[in-house]
Amino acid sequence: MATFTFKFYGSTGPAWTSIASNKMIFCSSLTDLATNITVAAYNDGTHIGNGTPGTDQCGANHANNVKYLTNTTMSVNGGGSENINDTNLAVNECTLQVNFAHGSSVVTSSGRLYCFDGTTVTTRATNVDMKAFERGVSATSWTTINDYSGGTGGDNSGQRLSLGDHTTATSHDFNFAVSMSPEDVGALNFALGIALVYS
Amino acid sequence: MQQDKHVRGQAFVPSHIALNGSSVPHNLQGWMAQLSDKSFVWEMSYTGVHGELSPWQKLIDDLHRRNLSISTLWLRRGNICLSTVSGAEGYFQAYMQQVSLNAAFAQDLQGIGSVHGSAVIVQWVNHLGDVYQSLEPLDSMILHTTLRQPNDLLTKR
Repeated sequence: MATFTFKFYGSTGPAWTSIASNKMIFCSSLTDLATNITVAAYNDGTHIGNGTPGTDQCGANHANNVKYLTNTTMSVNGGGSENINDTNLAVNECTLQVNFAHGSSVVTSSGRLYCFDGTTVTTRATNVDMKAFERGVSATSWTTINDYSGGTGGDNSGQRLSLGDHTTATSHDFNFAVSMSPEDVGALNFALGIALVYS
Repeated sequence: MQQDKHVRGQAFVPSHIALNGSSVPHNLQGWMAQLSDKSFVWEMSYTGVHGELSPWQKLIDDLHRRNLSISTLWLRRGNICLSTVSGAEGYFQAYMQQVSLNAAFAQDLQGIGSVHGSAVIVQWVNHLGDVYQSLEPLDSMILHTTLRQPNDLLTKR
């Protein structure tokens, strides 16, 4: 039996904690999930909300915020500019961890992370620009996984983040930095999808 | 062969086959392979032994150990039965799982395929019995094929 769990690093501890049925919310404050992001700016806060945004479900410690600055730089939780790479971005500084677990030891390949409109996996999210980075695969730059005006997004070849292969194990963690920017005003809806092949 | 279009599979193979003194379970769900020594092996569900190799990875190890190969591969999910060509350079079997955050979308497929040069021709079937065919690059799928070496770096245990 295979299971996926989406997690954020926060709550009590802090520790990697299941997002469960809540939503990941991007906003402009490290502490208040209801503060809007200015059009064309990137997120200064990442939170877990029980609606859009609903009330904050982060707990004692808020989720990490990793902000896109340039294609090769980031700001972690309001800090100064750093190159984005496995050295500067610790596992426990990532925005999102996706755990894939199976009772048997399995290998995984052909993984992909993508942004879509929440309904059709091949359709990009409206008015959303989104960048993603997988930690642990020696990457040194962000990948654009949604650019609404540029026609990029959804589970389409060349418009998603390809993930590293994993060796035989019963538990596989994929760690990501994710950053988003609105192209227009108003509440924007997006979904993140992940797919992988295992045997 | 259809690409990116779903088709319905065939009805299942006969419900009971005598093989080397044993029998394929009539309610088999999963893959079944005929090996070069004419024997048959098939997928057993997870036994509850945490951390054991998956049935497919066990088979790949066993093929290398006994210097055998797969002659033909079948897959049964629900009432759908799929088969590969015989005598391919290698064979593929894997699951594909797709889930989402901030949305309810989820999908679970199982596929079998055959290796032809640098490509793998795969047939996927989902829980609804819809069948999809795709052409995948061998280098991204080799871990799930019989061409994988048991002692390669990625799968070394």
